[in-house]
Amino acid sequence: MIRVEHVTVEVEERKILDDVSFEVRKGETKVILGPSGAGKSSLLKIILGLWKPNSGSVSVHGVEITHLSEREKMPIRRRMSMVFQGNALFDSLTVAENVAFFLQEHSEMAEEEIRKRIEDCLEFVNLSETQDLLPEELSGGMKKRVAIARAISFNPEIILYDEPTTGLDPLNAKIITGLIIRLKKERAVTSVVVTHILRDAFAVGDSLALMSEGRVVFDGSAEGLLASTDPFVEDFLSEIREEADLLTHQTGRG
Amino acid sequence: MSVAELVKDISPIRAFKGSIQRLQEYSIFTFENVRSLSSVWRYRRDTMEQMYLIGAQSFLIVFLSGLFMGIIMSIEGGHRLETFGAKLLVGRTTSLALIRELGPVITGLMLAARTGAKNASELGSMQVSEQIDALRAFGTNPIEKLAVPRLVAALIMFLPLTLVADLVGIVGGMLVSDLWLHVDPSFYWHSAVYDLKVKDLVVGFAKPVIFSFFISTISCYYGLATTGGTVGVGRAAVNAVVVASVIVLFNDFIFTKVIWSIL
Ligand SMILES: Nc1ncnc2c1ncn2[C@@H]1O[C@H](COP(=O)(O)OP(=O)(O)OP(=O)(O)O)[C@@H](O)[C@H]1O
Ligand SMILES: [Mg+2]
Repeated sequence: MIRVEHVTVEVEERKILDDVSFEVRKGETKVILGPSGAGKSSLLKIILGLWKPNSGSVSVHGVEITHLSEREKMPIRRRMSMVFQGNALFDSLTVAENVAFFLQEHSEMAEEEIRKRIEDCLEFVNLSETQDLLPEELSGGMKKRVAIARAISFNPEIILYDEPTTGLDPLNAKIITGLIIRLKKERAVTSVVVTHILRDAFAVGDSLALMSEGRVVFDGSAEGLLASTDPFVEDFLSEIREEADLLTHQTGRG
Repeated sequence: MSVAELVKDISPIRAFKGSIQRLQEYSIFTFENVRSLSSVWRYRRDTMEQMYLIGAQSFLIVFLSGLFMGIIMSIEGGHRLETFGAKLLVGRTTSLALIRELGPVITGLMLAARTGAKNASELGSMQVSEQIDALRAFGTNPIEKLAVPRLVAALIMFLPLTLVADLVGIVGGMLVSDLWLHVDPSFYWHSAVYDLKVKDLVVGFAKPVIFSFFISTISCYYGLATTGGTVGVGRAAVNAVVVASVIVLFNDFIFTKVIWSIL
């Protein structure tokens, strides 16, 4: 579904991504873990085709996208969506207009149909009452949910989430992870979830990759991650080890 | 350490290389703008909105600057002319100066500040908050959606705004000429309007169109090229206004020079 091979990105002679390879299968939720600055957001932008890698290849739905023009990427983008780290809601548009954006730009749907779709999407994230508000009038958790509603408005098969729960209280974080799981279950969405919160990673992930300084240092299951003896993995886990242990007991993993 | 490496770190050279790169990027951006002009129909609502904003936000400032320019020109010119016993020509000098030079330039500078800062900071904050990335992710070309409507709106709106400045300036000049120089208003008006040549009008009306093109593309370019968070947005706005203003003056000079030599 998504295949990233030997991707390297250099900005001003600094390697932001260094020979990154991994794969996400259809219907799978892949979690990308890693400390701040590891290159997680950059990786998502590469997958989305917003940036071109210096070398390596990215293919989505079996189509190699690195050499495509913006126009040629359109068919891929119709099937793929992203929830940005800072939400990136269009702040001059209302919530409803934000959610309707893609459909109004690219679909032949009638106004009535679009309105119905907006209602459905907002209902899915439990924000039906906010249609006419501007993004600045929403709380952080609500913004995140609007961003998810916008991302699902055109029923994409792939959704990329960039730190969907960072900066939210545990309750809101749980609501968001709940939505990610529901999207996977009810709509068979293939997801890539970037996070550095281990609890959420284990809650949503089918497999996990750990990044550090532009490299993938681990790629595999949650059990494998916890059992890993790689010094960096141990280091990364050590601070949250207790919490992780607790979780493994609770979920019966490992 | 090789000479090339040494030289690389000397800041004027780096700055020079930076400017060349910017110029190149700007040229490509402008080319893309022109090539995408047809998308204006698709985004006509955005274009209308921008037209309304330029008109509504700039009318007063353009009105006032035109008025004061006309008044000052009439007072200055009138007194100067009076010493030659030619104060009756005040209407003519005022209208010529306004229509050919001051109207377009003052309006251009005001709009470079007003529209330039607005475009650069709007697009800049969209850039740093990833809204531009989001647009692209949703398959929308930011140049078509954001830059072209602003360009077309400016191309359409700058001329009427300049006409407002011209007209208000001439009328303002007429009032002070009547009041302080005792030049009969109908005489003033006659010499202000009927002595104008087609050439003067062509020059005076072509300038705002050229200025609007540069003001809009420069400010949108700086906005979309913003890096470095909120500080970067401020920097983009300042750069846009400064560069657009200088370009307005530079274009005015080129235009005046070229027109004088060919017409
Ligand atoms: N547009 C850019 N230009 C140059 N460097 C960039 C750019 N964006 C990111 N970087 C650099 O790339 C590196 C990785 O950034 P990235 O945003 O991908 O990290 P991240 O893993 O998402 O971190 P965080 O958890 O803080 O979001 C950082 O060192 C950053 O400075
Ligand atoms: Mg990030």
